[in-house]
Amino acid sequence: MFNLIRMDLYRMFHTGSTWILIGIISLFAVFSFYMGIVDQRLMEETGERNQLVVKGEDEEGMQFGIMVNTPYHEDGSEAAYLEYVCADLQSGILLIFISIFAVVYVNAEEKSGFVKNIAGQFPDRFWMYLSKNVVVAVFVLMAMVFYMVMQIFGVLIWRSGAPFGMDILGEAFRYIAIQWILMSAFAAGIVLITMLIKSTAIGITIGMMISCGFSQIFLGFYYKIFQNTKLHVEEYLISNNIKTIVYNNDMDKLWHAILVGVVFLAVYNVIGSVVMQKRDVV
Amino acid sequence: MEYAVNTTLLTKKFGQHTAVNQVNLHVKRGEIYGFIGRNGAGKTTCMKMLCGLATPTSGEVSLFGKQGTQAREMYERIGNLIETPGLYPNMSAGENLKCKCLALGIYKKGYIEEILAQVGLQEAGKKKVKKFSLGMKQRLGIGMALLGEPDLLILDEPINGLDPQGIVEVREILKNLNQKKGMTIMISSHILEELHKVADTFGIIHNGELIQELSREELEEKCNNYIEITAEHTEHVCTVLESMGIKNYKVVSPNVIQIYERLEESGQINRELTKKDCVIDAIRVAHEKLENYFLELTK
Repeated sequence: MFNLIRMDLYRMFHTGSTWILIGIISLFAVFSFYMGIVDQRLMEETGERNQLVVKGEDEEGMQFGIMVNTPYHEDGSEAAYLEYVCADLQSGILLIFISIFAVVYVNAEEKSGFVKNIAGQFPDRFWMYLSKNVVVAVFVLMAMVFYMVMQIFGVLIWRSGAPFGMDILGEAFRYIAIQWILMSAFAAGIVLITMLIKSTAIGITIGMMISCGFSQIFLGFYYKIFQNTKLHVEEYLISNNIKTIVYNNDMDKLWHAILVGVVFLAVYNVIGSVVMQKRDVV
Repeated sequence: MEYAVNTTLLTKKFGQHTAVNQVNLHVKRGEIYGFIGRNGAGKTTCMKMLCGLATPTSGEVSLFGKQGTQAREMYERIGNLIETPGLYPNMSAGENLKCKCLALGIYKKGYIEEILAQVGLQEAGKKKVKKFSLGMKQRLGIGMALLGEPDLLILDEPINGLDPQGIVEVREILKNLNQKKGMTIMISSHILEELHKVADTFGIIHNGELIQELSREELEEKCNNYIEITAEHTEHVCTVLESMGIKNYKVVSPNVIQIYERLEESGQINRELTKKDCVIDAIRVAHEKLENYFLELTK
């Protein structure tokens, strides 16, 4: 398995699309930060609040679309760099890029036919599937790191007086780790869909639609059918957990999010491994 | 006799369609096995099962004398090129080879350059595969199959798209690997004359069934020039031929005898048979072309 991970990592780092996406993510990080600053200035000028976030409040219920909630303190104090990071991660904007990478990366091996060169020599083919998820998780981490690093530039350019956020350092890093687990689980789902349908266009479309919350349309049907249900299905969806948890949630909610991420990761990997093992190659 | 590959009633079905039907294939260790069949005969499907890329519906594959779960360990010893070469177009030849080296845990310095030189791509290591010609891609595909020093090479139409020079070079590579390294090679092709130049044994597959396995000598016997005699009483003709010292002949049907020696003496043979009161309906020198033999067999 480690040999396969090395191979997949080598391919990831030597593929142009990886660095193109990282470049776009980096630029977007700066752009997103700038738009946040524009929002804040607008709020200050008009005296109105266009965004939802107040420091310390949770996000409840469904979220539809991609919305970056600019951190804002009612007492007028400067939002910290780590608060910007957490807000951007919560928006789920990275999910779109992660979807694109996962689909393009996984499908390349199938479409190029390279899989024929190695699949026969690994009778336990499920390791080939698992190594893809390891590499995609590495990409998720890379994307998060580059995003956070580029946001520092944004802070230095437009908010040089902003504090780093040392008082929330522990919470922020815990939150980043949980988001990494959730986003990796989301990516694993995209990898599974891609492996099953083998279509780049459909895979990317499905990934982007889930990123934007379209799966919640089905939630609407669910609640229409089961009107009196006490089972809130959205609490068990990865994309919803990504968009609703905040860095200062109670530990119960954070553990719940971790569990959702880990369970989905396990389920996707088991299904994908079984399919990979049983199915003929190309 | 140890076989590198030995299949027993190997079958592959896709729904209602049987692509490979109870094939009993025998590839001896150290030989070059030529696998012949029309398009859609089942060659590629068969080869995929031998490489571990497809699971048989029924039957068994034995690799290097190992069967069942023990045979699974033998897949590491097989290199393959199935259908078109599987290469990442946006990576260079060297990078493609490096990917497989990493997967196999090969870190030997200079190994990739060695493989590239072996297939005649020593100058093209840094060129992106999407800029390769078809022939270059085929060579790189063969190079990929050679990674890891396999004991068995399974090549599905490796000379497709190669110019005559390229075909000669691939032929030399394969002969070299077989003679110097003792590598067992299984190769399929539509170019029968080319296969005839390299293979020791031939397997002919048609509509999913292996209809014949024959050695090169047997095939040559079937495809060589011969004198064909059509006569009423072949027993009497055989007696006369034996008295003339002709031993290499075959009675192929109740009225037809084929003689594989003394082809330049057809006139003398005719005279002698007539002298001994044999009624000869026809006598001619014929040559069975490989293609004709194959087409006749797969009619």
